[in-house]
Amino acid sequence: MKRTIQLIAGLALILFAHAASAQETFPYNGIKDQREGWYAITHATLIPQAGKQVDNATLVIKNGRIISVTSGGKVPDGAVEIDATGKYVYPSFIDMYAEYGLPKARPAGEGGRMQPQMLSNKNGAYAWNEALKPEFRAHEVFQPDTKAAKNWRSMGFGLVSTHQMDGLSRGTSAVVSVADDRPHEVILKSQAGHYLSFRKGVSTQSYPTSLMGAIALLRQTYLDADWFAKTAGEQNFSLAQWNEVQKLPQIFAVEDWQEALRADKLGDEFGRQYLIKGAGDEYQRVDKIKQTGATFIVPLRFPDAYDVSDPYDAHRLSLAQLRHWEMAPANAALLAKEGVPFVLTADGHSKPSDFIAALRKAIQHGLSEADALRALTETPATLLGVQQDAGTLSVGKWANFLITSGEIFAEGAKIHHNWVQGKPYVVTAIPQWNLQGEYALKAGSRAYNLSIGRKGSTVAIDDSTRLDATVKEEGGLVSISFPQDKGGNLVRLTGVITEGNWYGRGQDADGQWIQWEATSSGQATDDKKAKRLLPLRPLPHPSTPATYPIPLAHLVGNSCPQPRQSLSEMPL
Amino acid sequence: MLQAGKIAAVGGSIRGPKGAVEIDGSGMHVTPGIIDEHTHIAASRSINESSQECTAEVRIGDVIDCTDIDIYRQLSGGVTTAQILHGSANPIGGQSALIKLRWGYSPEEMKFEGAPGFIKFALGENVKQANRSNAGIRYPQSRMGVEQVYENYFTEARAYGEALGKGLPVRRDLELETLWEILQGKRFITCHSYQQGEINMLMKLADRFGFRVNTFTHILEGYKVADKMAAHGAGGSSFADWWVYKFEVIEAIPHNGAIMHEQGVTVAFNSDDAEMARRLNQEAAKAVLFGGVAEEEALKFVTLNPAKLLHVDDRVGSLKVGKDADVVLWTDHPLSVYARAKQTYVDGICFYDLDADVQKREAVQAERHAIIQKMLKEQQGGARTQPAKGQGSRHYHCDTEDDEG
Repeated sequence: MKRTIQLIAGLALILFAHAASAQETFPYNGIKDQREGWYAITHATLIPQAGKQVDNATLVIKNGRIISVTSGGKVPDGAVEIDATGKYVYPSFIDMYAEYGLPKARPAGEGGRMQPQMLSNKNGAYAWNEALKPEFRAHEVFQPDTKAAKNWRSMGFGLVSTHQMDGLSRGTSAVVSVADDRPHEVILKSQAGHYLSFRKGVSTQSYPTSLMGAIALLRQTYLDADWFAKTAGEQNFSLAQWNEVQKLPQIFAVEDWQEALRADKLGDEFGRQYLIKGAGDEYQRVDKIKQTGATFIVPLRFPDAYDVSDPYDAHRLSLAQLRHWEMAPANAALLAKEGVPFVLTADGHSKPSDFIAALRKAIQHGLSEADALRALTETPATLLGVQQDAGTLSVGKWANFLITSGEIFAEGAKIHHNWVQGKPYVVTAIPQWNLQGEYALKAGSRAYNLSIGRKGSTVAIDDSTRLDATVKEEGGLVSISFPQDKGGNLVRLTGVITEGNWYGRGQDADGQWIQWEATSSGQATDDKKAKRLLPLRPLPHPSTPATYPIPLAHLVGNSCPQPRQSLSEMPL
Repeated sequence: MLQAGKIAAVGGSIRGPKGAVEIDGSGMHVTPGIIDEHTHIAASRSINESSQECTAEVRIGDVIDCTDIDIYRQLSGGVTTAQILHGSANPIGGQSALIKLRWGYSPEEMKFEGAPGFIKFALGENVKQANRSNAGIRYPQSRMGVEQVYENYFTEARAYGEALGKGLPVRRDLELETLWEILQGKRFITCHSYQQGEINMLMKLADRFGFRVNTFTHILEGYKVADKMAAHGAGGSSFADWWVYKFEVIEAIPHNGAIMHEQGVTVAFNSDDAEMARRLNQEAAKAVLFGGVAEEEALKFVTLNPAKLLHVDDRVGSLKVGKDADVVLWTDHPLSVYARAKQTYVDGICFYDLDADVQKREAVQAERHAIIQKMLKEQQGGARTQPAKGQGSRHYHCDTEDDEG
């Protein structure tokens, strides 16, 4: 039995220990909380940025910002110390492609169900086409969403670039933190990027009905905006705003690798280099993807295995589908290997456990931990222009960090805390006691051997019979229940944990009140240690060609007498 | 002899340079690669931009899908060049893309370099939306309205072009710019057409605006107006014997191609269909059957004539020294139903080989099997699964024995 972490008295206190508020214009009702949010996280293994590590680190934060990061540093007088011995501290993640705290996109008016709708239904002097909404500014309507924020924090994120995922021009995003605070506090940057796509979204207008129509509309809009800037032809707030947002990073969402090439080509026509939010299938033609010169925002949404137990069902699947299942988890690793710059996004995931699992799967398929961490922290911070405030753990930046039970990408590691702008949020409570081990348990007149393992607990009622037991610990209190005999009624015990032993009262199988006591008799046999999983296999894997051409092409296409030539080598 | 992507020599006793690969064609026939003047394969999420009566600004070239398996299937039928056309939902459709079937290459690499621009026009039922459930308010609703669309847009385009010419400040309009290219003879029209009245209408309108209708496609009543087409200089890209799929094609006859040909119209047969495109050589053969066109002339219906219609006959369409090495090696007389493409070359590169295809199918089977077994192991290991649902449609045939995707 070992006490693993010394926490300040009561997590509840932390949760309400708000840093001095920046909302200085707001009146308050009651007694003003004037605490500064001064904390020192000590004895942690701290990863300030990918590829670096500070052992026995002391991280001091105040008023939401990082004051110092030192190895073995002293806790300043007045700071609240959080002993994180055995824990890891990482910068929290940043998602460049998110929709958070924004109203759902709605059509501008009644759509034409039976009638084509030739023009926009939107009131006001805006674009002729409803799918063009450069005037939408996320920061103007952003409202923190407690439930969604909790989900983001559980995935390890501290900041997101939130935008409304609707329309060809989707308007601008805001970089916001996922703290539970007023918008005044959590909006860190307005107009962080201009987002575009090839999908018209909820627009009920007829045009465009096709992908080529969407491309043509975007192309014409670049020209119209240029004309608008040079003439006083008409009043048009969409075009005015379109011109305004051109100085921002341009982020283009596509749905497959060929669309990435199309977007890049469109950008080239007008001297724009888009950041491209890809579909996760870039591995199919990574050579062409690389030639775009774009930085990719890569999702980690991998298809589940198909149920192929019935051969006729399996017959319906294309080779491309089968391959995508196999190759998608290796996509990010391949991009890293080929030197395509990229960041990662949680887009496509709503369950935190799925996102973390997918992240680990990508790492098992060859993505280095450093590349993964960089793609979730520093790189997006730089692309969003918030590198002065976020992305690494260094002095002066926002105190946005994670406290984890082990190396974050290792199987089984848990996020305990997600600190956002200097405020702690508990994701998985740090267990106050490591209970694993062997115990001699005396309950009433009977004696048992209690064994608490990583996966479960058992009670030996005699030399040959072990029965499952339930052991729960919370806040220094423990409860234990198990059947007194095989198939018999349950014994229920409750009590306190101390350094020396556990003890308390309970009811036996007959409902009689009893005293109980447990003392340690040995270390746990299966030590709970985070373990790195080895990659499933190296890249490229056996059933994929050594290079990564378009799959079907490689298999079904060229292999006649002449070797395949690249087009540039052909004298045409 | 094919060398460096071009036809280097044609003759009975030529010898290749040292190191040349010799391909034994004993008992086989060699023809130019087939050119499909009208197809809708290999386009992504687009064929029609049907929302407006004029969508000259949209480009099929923006949405080429180089992964469409039809590209490979058509190589197996000897097709080496294809014009991907916009659909026929509006009088003035979108810009076409001419591709070479360079299977495995990227969309941009498939484009036929230097080919002149084309645009799809359409007449008849489709554009007046007689067959649409939500036609509603979209103009035009009648064949009369169709003419007014052209009248209106070409008038506007002419004014636009003239303003550009005078250096006046104009808002760049990609729609009018495209139509202005037509008026200047820099872009050519392929017009979906069935009935003689409308065909005459468009030729007269073109005469008024001083341009030429390059190609009437479908043109199933071409035999009625072939003399007028020849006089106007319009080509006809038709079907051999595909008809009775709607009322406005009721007067189609199988001798249409032969009659237009006799009248001096440049005639092509096209597929407009992913399946038929695999056997355009047989469609050409029907010109011999119906109307007694000479065999060599009939073969031109799917090779040199479409090349002429597309203004790329200096590059492709015949086996002539200096032209692109787009060549098909057939197992039999190319107009025979027994003929199969043994090998198909584009720019001197073999993109299809009958024997290699068998091996590739086996490799596909082996890979499918390997991945399925891996999936089964994951499933047994408790992995989450999803139902095995296929994607999209596949082409089935009555003789299908094995149809692995």
